[in-house]
Amino acid sequence: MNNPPSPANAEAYLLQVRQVSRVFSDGQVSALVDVSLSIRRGEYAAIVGPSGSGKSTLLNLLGALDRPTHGEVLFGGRSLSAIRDIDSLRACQIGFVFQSFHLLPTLSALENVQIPMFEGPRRSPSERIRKAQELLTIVGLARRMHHLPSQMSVGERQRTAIARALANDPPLILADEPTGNLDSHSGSAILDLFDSLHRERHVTLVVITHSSDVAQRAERIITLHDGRLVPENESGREFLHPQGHVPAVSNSTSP
Amino acid sequence: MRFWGIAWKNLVRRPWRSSLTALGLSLAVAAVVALIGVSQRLEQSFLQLYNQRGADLVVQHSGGMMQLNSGISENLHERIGTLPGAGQVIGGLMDIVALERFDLFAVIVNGWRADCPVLDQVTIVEGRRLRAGDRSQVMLGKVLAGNIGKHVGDTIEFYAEQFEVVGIFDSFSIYETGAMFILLGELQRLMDRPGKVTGYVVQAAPAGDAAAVEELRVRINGLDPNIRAVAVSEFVRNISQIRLIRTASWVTSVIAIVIGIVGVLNTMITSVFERASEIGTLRAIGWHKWRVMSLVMAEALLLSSLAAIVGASMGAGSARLLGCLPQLAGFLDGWPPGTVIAQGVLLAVVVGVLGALYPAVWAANLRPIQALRRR
Amino acid sequence: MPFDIVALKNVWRRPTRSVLTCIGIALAVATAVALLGFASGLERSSLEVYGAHGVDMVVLRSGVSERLTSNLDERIAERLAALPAVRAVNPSLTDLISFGDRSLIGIPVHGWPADRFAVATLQVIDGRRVSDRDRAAVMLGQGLAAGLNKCVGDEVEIESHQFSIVGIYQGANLLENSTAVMRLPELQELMDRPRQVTEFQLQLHDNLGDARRVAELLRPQIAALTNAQGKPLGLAAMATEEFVTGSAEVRMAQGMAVATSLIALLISSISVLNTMIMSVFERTQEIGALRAIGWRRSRVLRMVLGESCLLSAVGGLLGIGVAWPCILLLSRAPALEGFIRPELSATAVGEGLMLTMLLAVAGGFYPAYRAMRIAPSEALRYE
Repeated sequence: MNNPPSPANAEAYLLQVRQVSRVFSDGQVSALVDVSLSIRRGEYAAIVGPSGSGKSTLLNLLGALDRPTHGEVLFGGRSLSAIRDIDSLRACQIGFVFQSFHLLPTLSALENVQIPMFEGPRRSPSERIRKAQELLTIVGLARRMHHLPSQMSVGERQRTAIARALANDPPLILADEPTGNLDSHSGSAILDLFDSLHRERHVTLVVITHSSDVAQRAERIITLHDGRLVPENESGREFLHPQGHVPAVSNSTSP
Repeated sequence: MRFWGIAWKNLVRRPWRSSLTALGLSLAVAAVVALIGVSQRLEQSFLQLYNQRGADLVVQHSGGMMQLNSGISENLHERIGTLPGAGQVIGGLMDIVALERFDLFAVIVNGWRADCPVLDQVTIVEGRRLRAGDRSQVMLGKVLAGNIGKHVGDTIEFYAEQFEVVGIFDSFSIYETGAMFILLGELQRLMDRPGKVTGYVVQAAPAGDAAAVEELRVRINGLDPNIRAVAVSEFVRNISQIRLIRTASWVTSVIAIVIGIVGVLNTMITSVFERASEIGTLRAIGWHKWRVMSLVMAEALLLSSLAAIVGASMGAGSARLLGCLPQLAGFLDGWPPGTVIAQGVLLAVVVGVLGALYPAVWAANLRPIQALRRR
Repeated sequence: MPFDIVALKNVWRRPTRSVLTCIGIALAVATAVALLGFASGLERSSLEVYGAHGVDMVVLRSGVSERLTSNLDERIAERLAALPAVRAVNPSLTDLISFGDRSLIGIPVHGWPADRFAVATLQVIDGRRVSDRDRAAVMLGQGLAAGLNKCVGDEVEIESHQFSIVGIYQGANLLENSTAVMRLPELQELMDRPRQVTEFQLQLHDNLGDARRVAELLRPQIAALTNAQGKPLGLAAMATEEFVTGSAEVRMAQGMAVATSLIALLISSISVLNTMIMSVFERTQEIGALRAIGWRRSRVLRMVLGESCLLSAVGGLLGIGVAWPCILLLSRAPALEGFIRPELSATAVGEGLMLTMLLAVAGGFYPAYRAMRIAPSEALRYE
């Protein structure tokens, strides 16, 4: 973590964040100040922190949805700002899971899962359907494939969204509060799913969360506070504890 | 699932929005098809009337805007007929009367000489044809007779006089089946235009030879400075009533289309704006700009094709129905020309696609993180 | 918070959609107001022209559908003049004629006897009236003279004959300003319609009381006139108002205005329907909640109808606001000079607003009904 990122460890690190700051003029979105971190291939990381600490801003930068004001983000050793076709990167290398699912309401589960495949490797329509069926079976929705989002429970919707995120077999999955809208039962089902994806498919997972259940399952916890990274040795798990206090951070410019 | 499948499902799974948008567009197209169709059909039937008679030229008074008012001497008949290159000459007086009792405000009355070939060319379906010596006798076209419920032996009043129906005839032309025929001398008396006819239609001999027709035209124009011979197609194009209807239908169509465009733009824009977060999702999970744009355009294309088919059929159908109204039965029949229907279809598709262009570009340029934040 | 503020806020929640719907309505209402205004302007203008000459009644051939095709023998004038209620008769032949090199087509030209009231009531602003001694003489309306760029003493070509301009008159309005007048015999000769006129214009004695009643009495007398053989002359007498309203030009203009407005309003009512039904669908949960906290069905209905009225009213006012400058602009267009009056009548505005309310109800009723039927339990569904 403290190693300066270099091409040599591009193999080891899927994501490298180098002294990234993100400033917003409208003040509606929380900023990031001089954040540096690296995420190994196959790592399962949770990003935690109070609301307004810049978690979503960081996730947007990791997912190439936004560009940093200063610094750079490297994906597989390549700077995102140097990649011309950023859309294809998002389509093929990254899977997104959102708190409010963002499924297309007019399409069935099976159809929603096929959406990213239009941008991925060339597949015939029947191959797309076969792949989507396979993914929905993995997330346990083999019997709900032809339902519209409005006909499914929220847990089923999130599982559809995860199947969609896996459509092009991306090495990285970014999830923003994936269990935020779910009850505890379906929430833990989703987390089991993440565990098995991580274990069996060696997917790199970065999950934003408020919940200690989620963070405890991750291999590593990254804590943000006021847009700054809290050094990992200082960041206590007590932050996630319901009664836990937020650790005072005096100086965390660079880990 | 194919790309067009997504567009299709986006439409059919929002049935209200889609059908209302399509309905607005199809109404505009229907108005255009019906109006332009009617005006072109009027012109077509008129042209057909002259063409079937083999007429090449129409001779009328040289001045005046309203052909019905102008009159030329009936003595020109023989002078035109004896010109070299002239074939059959038919001279007639024409008027438009109102039969208010039957709610018919425009019925054509033709005055023909007893030996006029037109009287032989129509098919008598009841009674007899007019003959020399008839005075208060009238022949009715089949459609007119049907509309006012008259048979041979009945009387009919116009010009404040009573006429006896002696025959009912059928013809290939809607302008004749909706008209009535009386003898020329009688109509001249009724209209107070002794010795006058409205004009002549002249056949060139040999028929159909453009050069011969042109030579004949020049010869006829040389007969008298007050008369003018014109080709049938030019004559029909310039009939003031047809011109008026053509202008009115164009103006109305343009207005309908402009309002249709605003309506389509409205629904297309709002439908895309409201789906900002959906579109943002597509962009976030890696869809390219052009694919998002294509999706919006594909939806518009499907929707406007549907509207085009519905609108063009509604328009054609209403033009057809208009011809069934007794008031218009004497002027209008049949379906609007195929070209008008095709233009209507094309227009709907173009309007739909143009209406979607702005929303499509807007959608393509949506930044995913902003869109995802919108609710 | 007053109830209508709720409607306003609801409408403003989707500004783009509301603004576009308003524009659609505005366009339709502007079309309707402008066209209906044009048609009624045409009617009023023609009426004014007759009024300026003191014409009380017009006599035509009965059963003609177009005024210009009415053919009457000018000698009937004496029979009409002999009727006790009639003070004066002006036989008039009107035809549409092209001037000069056909750049101006369809100019109404009146043939009037030089010694009757119609010529006498023309307001001459330059030159003089035509007189019986004149040959090949014409008087031009102010607007027509300006359009042709001619003044008194100039020659003008009408139907390939040269005429000299003896006078220029100011008509009752723009309509009359773009006409021309010549002596009746000259127009009859020019158009080859000897002894024929299209109508007789009657002035009645004004000491007989109510002109309308006199006209009613006169009408059957004129219809009953017969010729020497005892056959009816086939005349139809009409009070000027009735004549103008029934004239083919006015009917045609009105028919077109009504048809076009109808299409425009139909299309925009669909767009109101679209907007309102989307808004109700979106708010299913919210309306369910309103029902759950005790709003009556009728209040929900009123809320949705109120929103649709608000949309339509804003659109309608905008439309009237747009129509006004359009009419102004159109009335200045040289091609239309004389047919459109640069004024917005109260009736046109009233009609426009009425149409707007019609739109609101037509487009808002079904969505309001759907909203009313939403059950309170819907508040708990669709999370």
